[in-house]
Amino acid sequence: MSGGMSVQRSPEYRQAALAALRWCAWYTRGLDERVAAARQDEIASDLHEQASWAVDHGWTSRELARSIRSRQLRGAPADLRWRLTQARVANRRSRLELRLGAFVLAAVLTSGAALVGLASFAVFRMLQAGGQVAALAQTWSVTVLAAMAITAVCLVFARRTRVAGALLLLVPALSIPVLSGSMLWYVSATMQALAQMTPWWTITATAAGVALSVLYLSAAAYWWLNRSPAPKPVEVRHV
Amino acid sequence: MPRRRPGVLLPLELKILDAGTELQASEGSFYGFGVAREIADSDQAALIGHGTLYKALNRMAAAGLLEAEWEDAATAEHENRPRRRLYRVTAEGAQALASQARAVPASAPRLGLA
Repeated sequence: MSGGMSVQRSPEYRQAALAALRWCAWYTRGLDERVAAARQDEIASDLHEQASWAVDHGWTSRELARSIRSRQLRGAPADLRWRLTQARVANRRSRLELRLGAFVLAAVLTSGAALVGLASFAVFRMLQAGGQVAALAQTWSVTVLAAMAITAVCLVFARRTRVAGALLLLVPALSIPVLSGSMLWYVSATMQALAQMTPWWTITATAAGVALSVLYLSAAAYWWLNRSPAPKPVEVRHV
Repeated sequence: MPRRRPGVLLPLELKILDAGTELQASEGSFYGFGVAREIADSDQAALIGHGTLYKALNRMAAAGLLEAEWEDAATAEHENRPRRRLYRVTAEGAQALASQARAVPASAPRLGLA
């Protein structure tokens, strides 16, 4: 099969195949990586199959190159239309992702700020009331937890530290609602009335903490999975 | 490009379904160049342009007329060639082909698509 090998190794075929691959790399640029790679792989396979077929049918390297160029040229309008469709689909998807990302960020920041607010209010009321020896340990704990929540919210603001921030919020989320409620019971008549009316408030506060923890864990997972990878240049594969 | 009615197949799509069904019957599945070659042989015409062919295959797979999967990399490596994207005509594709064939006069060669 030396004749065949010479067709597949001929400069005419190589140039035509390379031109087809370059064209493919050009019209798939900037598209979803998987979509672009799939199209490039399919064209590379097509070129190889056509070359093998041309060898079996006794085509010359010029005939093969001419056929490849002709197929590339005739298919170019369809390539461009396909690119437009893919870009439109990607735009729709990225808009949806942006909206979801904004919602997750807003939910984490708002609830984080609410935790800081609740803890600060409880500590402030405790200090205002001159402090209670019975709740001293809780006051310290809530102060530390509030500081932790403030740090976590600051971390969530920055894209790079967002995952760490969401994970750090887990501890304040699980503790602040119950501890702050217990602290306020000492100094707030409203809280005492609430505790009497709703004896299950601790369960509610714990459930709220668990719900917030689920939110933060989900947000951390979402941000971890959606980390933006380093951009990869499109390679022209040689046949 | 004018919008076509839903359920109506383009001539190229019918050719792909027709040629693909034949290839599938003998080889179990088919790939892009294989179907291009089969259509060129039956039409006595030039091979379909890359863009036209793969855009149509892509669209048909999205519409559920074909199912596509990448060939096992080891198989391709063993045969020293790039791996193929293998297609199969789905039940929906076969049904679309059959209903279109019924609509075309029997005297028309190859589904009247020449």
